[in-house]
Formats: sequence, structure tokens, C-alpha cells
Amino acid sequence: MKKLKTFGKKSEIISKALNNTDIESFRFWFQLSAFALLVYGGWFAINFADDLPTFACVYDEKRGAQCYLIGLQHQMATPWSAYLSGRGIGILVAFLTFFAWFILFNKAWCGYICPVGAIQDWITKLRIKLGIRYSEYSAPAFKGLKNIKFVLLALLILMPMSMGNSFFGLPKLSHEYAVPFCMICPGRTILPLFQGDFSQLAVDFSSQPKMILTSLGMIVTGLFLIGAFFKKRFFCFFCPMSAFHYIMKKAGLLKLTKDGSKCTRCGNCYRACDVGIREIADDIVSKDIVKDDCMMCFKCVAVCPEEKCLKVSFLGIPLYEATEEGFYKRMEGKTENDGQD
Amino acid sequence: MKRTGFKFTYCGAALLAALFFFSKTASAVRGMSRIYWRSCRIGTVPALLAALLFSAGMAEAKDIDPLYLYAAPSKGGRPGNRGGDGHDHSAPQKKRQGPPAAGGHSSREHGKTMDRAAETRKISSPQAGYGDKSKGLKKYEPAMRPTPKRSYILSDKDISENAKALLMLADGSMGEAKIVRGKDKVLVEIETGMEDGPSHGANNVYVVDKKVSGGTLYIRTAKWINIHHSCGWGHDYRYDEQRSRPKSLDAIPLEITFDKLWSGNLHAEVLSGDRLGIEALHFGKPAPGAKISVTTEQQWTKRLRTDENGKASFRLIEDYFAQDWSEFKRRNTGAFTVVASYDTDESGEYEGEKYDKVSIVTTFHWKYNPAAVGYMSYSAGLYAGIFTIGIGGLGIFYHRQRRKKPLKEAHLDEKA
Repeated sequence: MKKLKTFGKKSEIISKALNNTDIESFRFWFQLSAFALLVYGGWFAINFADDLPTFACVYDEKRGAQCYLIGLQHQMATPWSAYLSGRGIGILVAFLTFFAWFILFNKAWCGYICPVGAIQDWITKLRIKLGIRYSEYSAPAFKGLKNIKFVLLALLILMPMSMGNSFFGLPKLSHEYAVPFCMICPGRTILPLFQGDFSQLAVDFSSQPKMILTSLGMIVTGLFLIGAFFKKRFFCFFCPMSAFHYIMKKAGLLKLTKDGSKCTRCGNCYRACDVGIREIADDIVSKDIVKDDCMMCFKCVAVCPEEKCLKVSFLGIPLYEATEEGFYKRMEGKTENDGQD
Repeated sequence: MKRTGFKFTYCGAALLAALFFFSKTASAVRGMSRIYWRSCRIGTVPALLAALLFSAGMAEAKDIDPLYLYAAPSKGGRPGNRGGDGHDHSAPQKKRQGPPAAGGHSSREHGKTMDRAAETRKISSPQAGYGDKSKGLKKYEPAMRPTPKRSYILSDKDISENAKALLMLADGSMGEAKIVRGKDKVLVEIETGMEDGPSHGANNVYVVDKKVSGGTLYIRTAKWINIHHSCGWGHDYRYDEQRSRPKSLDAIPLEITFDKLWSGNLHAEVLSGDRLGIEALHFGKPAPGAKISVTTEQQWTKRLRTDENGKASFRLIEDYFAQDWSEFKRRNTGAFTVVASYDTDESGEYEGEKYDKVSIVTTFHWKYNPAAVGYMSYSAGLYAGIFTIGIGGLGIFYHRQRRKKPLKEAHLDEKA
């Protein structure tokens, strides 16, 4: 009984310490470490994993892991008949690997691990340093644009599929359109730059499809840089990986939940949200508050002053909860506008 | 007048003969042997002596005939066709330019005896054996399409009974390779399995054929590198330098190794314009002074000699040019053939026959693609990126400026 009490006391102390944590600082260092691992891991002979649910770009020769999307696009080019062969097993194994990694951290892959996300956060920090105001989408624009990621996800599956198979008797798509999403992903053009590799910045004139895709890739890169400068997590709004995560988010072991009865709809969480999810403040009915654009950065939990209104848990074990004490601790020394840049 | 005319006739005939002689000589330079021609036409004693000496030298090299390995046509279609995995690994062949290459990899097939001069010519000649494409023979295999069993066709079906095939697996261990003698062809068969095992990576296939003739031991070796890889097995070996680098086998009398033929991901990556380093190894040790000849499909040839460390290097020529942009194939795959020869004064006995010289010749094929600099443009990429940033920045600036202006609202004058 005594031991149980001691354990209870200890866990209370740990939980208090965690709840008072400056999650932003923790996130910064976690992102930096993940970036080093995924982008430079190869220098230390690290191959952390393949088929990760985050951008670990294969175009970066010295990467420390590999993104699932490139493998998925390759595999989707399989003819229908081969789905039931050994190749089908390969597709299944890759998906299960991706799924196993995904459920571990749920959408926190975006908020804590994704190197492209980290770059956007660093660009945001630069903008704040320069004292330039951020931009936001209007509510109707937000609603319309958020669907783009689902369209991109559908395309990245359907386009390779139409390379290996004929749809409705139409001719097969040229293999020059292989890995179409990777061709326009800013991860392909930007991540190799951190290795000093500028080769992905070039436009490929070897064929019309390649020229179109690589030109689009550079246009998206330009949009990424300018967009991320003015709009926090600009690209995440259109990211098909984020859409993929959202489809499977219910299986995630890491959860972000809300107790609507404790919410006063102060709007702190919405203002702190980098992506600008309005429902986090408005929705007082849903328990699972992870929306398609959420990247599980937990900034909303950090700025919530209501006791246990927002909660992060892993396998039901609370890891990080909104507390009044934690809120005031984090707010100490901060000005009114901090966190709203 | 008649006498003068007679003289002029003689002089003209002499002039014509001289012109004919020089023109013949000039064309002969490109032909078999300058010395033979000179000795025949000029009849000078030194030239004749030189020709005799040269012929004597060549006579020793009689019967040596390089041995080549070719990829046997796969049952599922022509080798080199595209996989269904979305990779664009191989090249469409029909667009390959240039004249059809000379046929016949072996002079024996043409019923000729091959002397060293002819061999040299053959080595440097347009792709010995290129014409065998009609028989489905290929000098490269499709990449990243692993199959559990591979067959290679030997260029010479008259290899000796004691010829042996060797297989060194990617992990350095020895595998099993067997020579299968058929009526029309001789195959070398290897088994690599279909898993991420000892054969995952570059597997070296060798054939060694020996014969004593005229007091010389002639050794012919042929090498083939089979890349047994599926991207589905992962790319962990890119961190294992020992595993991913081209390897050599000490038991091979003469072997050609390259410094780099594929990337860490086991994707073949030789491009036109690349400088390739070669090392000739005689039983695993550097072979200084070895003669090396590199020939591409378009008949470009480079002759080299290895230095004291058995090394040499050459820059691969760009020899693929499309007539039109739409016809250009980035993955156009060409093959180049490397032939190396090396002679030693070793003496000994082989199968009861004594020899006091050893003459070795070895061959190897590899593939290459067009250079990326020919179709990649950094400036176009940067223009596209900078233009987007500029337009985006201006758009945001304009949007913000517009929002700063006071609203033009119509106010109702309530007093009126």
C-alpha cells in the first residue's frame, strides 16, 4: 500500500512536471534532432527505417530513412494481375511498415519529425525575427483549399496505377510520369540542398512529362518558400501525407482529446494553432479533436488555461494536459502578442 | 614530238602510279597493317624485315580469341524492358542511332584464324558481337528485376572441356555457376535466389578457358556483373563499402575492375562523359602494362595501357544523339565492351603440354546512359523558382497594401 502511495506521488510529480513543460522548446529540439537523423543519418551509416510516414527524401543521398510515398507510388504502378503475386506481398509489407510507424505517433509525425515541416517552422521564426506580419486564410478559402491534399493523395495513387493499367480502355500513362508527387514535392528540391546537392533544382528537358513535372516542382518550391514565410505551415495544408494520416488517425496510439464541458471557448487554442483550425475552439462536442490539418504540435494544449480541457495521451496514459498552473508558468515573461506571430 | 609525247606518257603514268601508291598507302593506314602494305608496295628491305618480325610476333598470338558473355534473352520478353514497378530502368532500343554494328564476335565463327593484329583490330573494332543482338544477345541486363536464375551465353561454343565458370556472390562468398553445353550454344547458369541474401548486390560471373598452343598458354576469361537487387529489399548496403563496391576474385588470371559502376543504391549510374577508373588484376595483383581497349556501340574506341599500379582511366564519350527532342530517351542504354590483354613470360605445363609464355585476354561489358548535363537546366529551374517567389511576394504585398486603405463605405446622412 505504501509502495502504491509512493508510486502515485511520484507519478503525480512527473505528470506535474510534464504539464508545466515548455512544449515549444521541447518541440524545437526534437525537430532539430529528427531533422539531423533523417537528413544526415546516412553520414553515420544510419538507415533508421524505410516506409516512414514522413518526408525522409530518397533524393537526399545521405538520408537516414525513407519516405513511404515514393515506394507507394512505385508500387501502385503494378499491373492488376501482379497484385496477387509476390509483388502484392511487397506492397502489403510496405503498407504495414508505414502503418506500424504511423500508429506510434499518429499525426505528431508532422509536428515533431517531418523535416519539411521543421524547415517551415524555421522560416516562420525568421519572419518573426524580421518583424513581418503573418497571413491567414479567410474561412471560405480555408474550407476550399483544405481539400487539395485529398486530391493530391488520390492523384499520387491513381497516376501510377494508370501507368501499369488501363482505365476504361484508355491508353496507359507514360512512365515518364513516374513518382508524380515526388517530382512536385518541395522535399525533393530542398532537402538535398542541406547536403550541398543542388541537382534537384534543375528542370529536366529529357521529355515533355519530365519537363512539366520538374518545372512544376520548381514552381511549388518557390510557392513553398514564399508561402511558408507568410503563412505558418503553408505546405502542410496541401500535403497528401497529412491526408493519408487523417484517414488512419483513429488507429493512432497517440491521441489529442478535448473535454468540451471544460472549454470556455476563449479561442486561445485557435490563435496558437499554426494551421488555423477553427474547430479546436468551436467544437465542444467531439472528444477526438484531431482534424485533417492538425499536425499534433500540442501548442493548443500549452495555451489552454482550463484544467484538463485538452489532453494528450498514449495508449490511454496521459502524457500532457492543459493545466492552469502550466499555462501561467508558460506565460511568464511573455507579452500579449507572443505566440501569435 | 613523238619522243616527247612518249616521255610525257611515261611521266604521267609514273605520276599516276605514285598517286595510286600513296593513296593506297594512306587508306591502308586505316586498314590492317601499315607495314604489310609498305613492304608489298615499296619492297624496301627494312619494311619487309619489320613486317616479317611483326608477323613473327603475331604468329605467337595465333588462336587467341576473346571470350564474351552475353545476357540470354529472358522468357518474359526482351531483356531490358520496363518493370511494372514504375522504374524507368531500361532503354527503348529502337531509337539507338548509328549504323548497325559489325557482326561476329568470333573470327572462328567466320571460319578464320585470328592473329594478334586481327585481334587488336577486333578489340578496337565496332563492337565485336554487337550484331548478335539479332539472336537476342544483350550486353546488359535490366536493372532491379531480380530473378532466381540467370543464364549467360558464351560467345564461343568451342571452349575447352576444362573451361570453368565461377560465381562470386555479392557478400564475397562463392556461389555455384555451371557451364551447360548445348548443340548451338554454351550457357553459363547461376542461381541467385529471390531474397535479400548473400546474392543481394553485385554478383561476379567468370568463365576461364585455357589452352596451350605453340608453346604459349592462352587464357581467355570473360566477366559479367549481375546486379541482383530489388528496391523492396532496401538499400542498406549503401553504407557497406565492401559490399557495394565492385569486387575482384584472386583466382582469376586477368580481371578488369572499375572504381564505380553503380550508385550506393545499386542502380547502374555510368553516364556519357564520366571518367572511369580501371584496374587490371593478374590473380588479384595489379597488372602493369596491360593493354586495354574500350569500345562503345557506336564504334568509338579508346586504347589504353595500365600504369605501374595496373590502373588506367578513360572518359566515356557521348554517342547518343536524338534527331528530335521528342525522340530523346533519357534512359537510352548503350553498352561498352572492355577487352584487356596481358602477357607474361611464365613457363610451366598445362594438361601435359609445356609452355614458356602466357597470354591472357579478358572481356567485360557494362552499360551507360546519356549525360544528365545534356538535358538538365539549372537556369530554367532557378528562373521558375525565382519568378514564383517574386510574383508571390508582390501578390502578398499588393494584397496587404490594399487592405491598408480605408474602406469606401457609403454613409447615410441621418440628419438629412
